[in-house]
Amino acid sequence: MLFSNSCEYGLRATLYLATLGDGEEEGPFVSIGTISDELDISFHFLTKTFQKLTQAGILQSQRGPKGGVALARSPEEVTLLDLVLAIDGPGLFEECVLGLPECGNRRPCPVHERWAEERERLGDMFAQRTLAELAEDIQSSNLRLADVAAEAAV
Amino acid sequence: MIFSKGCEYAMQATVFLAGSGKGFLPVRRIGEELGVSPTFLANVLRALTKRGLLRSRRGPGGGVALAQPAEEISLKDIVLAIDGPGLFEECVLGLPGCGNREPCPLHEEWGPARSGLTAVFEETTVAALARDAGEHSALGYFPGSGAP
Repeated sequence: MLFSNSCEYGLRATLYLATLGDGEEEGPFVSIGTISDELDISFHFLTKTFQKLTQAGILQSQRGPKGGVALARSPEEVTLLDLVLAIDGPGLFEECVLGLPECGNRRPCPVHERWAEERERLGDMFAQRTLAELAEDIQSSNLRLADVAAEAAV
Repeated sequence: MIFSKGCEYAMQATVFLAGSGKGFLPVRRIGEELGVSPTFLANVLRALTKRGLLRSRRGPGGGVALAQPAEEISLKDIVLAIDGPGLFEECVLGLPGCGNREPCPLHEEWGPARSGLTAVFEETTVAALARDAGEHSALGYFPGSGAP
């Protein structure tokens, strides 16, 4: 797959947080347990992924009964690319698709140029999508962040 | 990164076979060129053999060889054999039910992006890679490509 499992979960979870907004009387923090239940993602996995997002300054976390995670930056300022880089690192955009360590612009492997074109297009696409836009899409079109089965079970 | 190590070695090994101009090469020999343990490589190549991309032969003069002309083996064929169809078919967020009727938020733009990626792998053949492994290429240790 294009992204690691962590990245897929992290994207879904962060999109979920973005759709909640703030202003809830419980405060902006959402417990990891709630997110784990809502999206049917393992609590342990989520904790690890949220650590990376917190280190990257995208999320903030708080301990205690009203604790959990929340966005640390405004959703207009966070792009999909920010999330992918925070969780999976730059590998997708830098590594050779054949796995050759010396491959790069100066010493390209035979598929480098074509691959570089596609991944740049991907990178641009991710860089242009903000959490705010995606949250709006999700809310206005009722797009799904979880499996139908998980939603039905809730 | 998007492919498993096994998949990467499968692609490299197949291109190496194509460029060697020989029939059967021992797995150990390919492992030496690629810098991969023969045991690990043997597992990977077995998966390619099962898919009909390679064939194998025991004994002296044995090893593995391409089972089809190099022009007819695409990178996508190799990826399908080792890593499966996920990259070419699945939702970018990993949601099993995502599709046109119940799309995830990225579904609309992921479609064309995925088509673009798929085309790169469908249209790049092992023959073309072996041919283009020139002296400036990172496939420097491949035959006919000059010193690494």
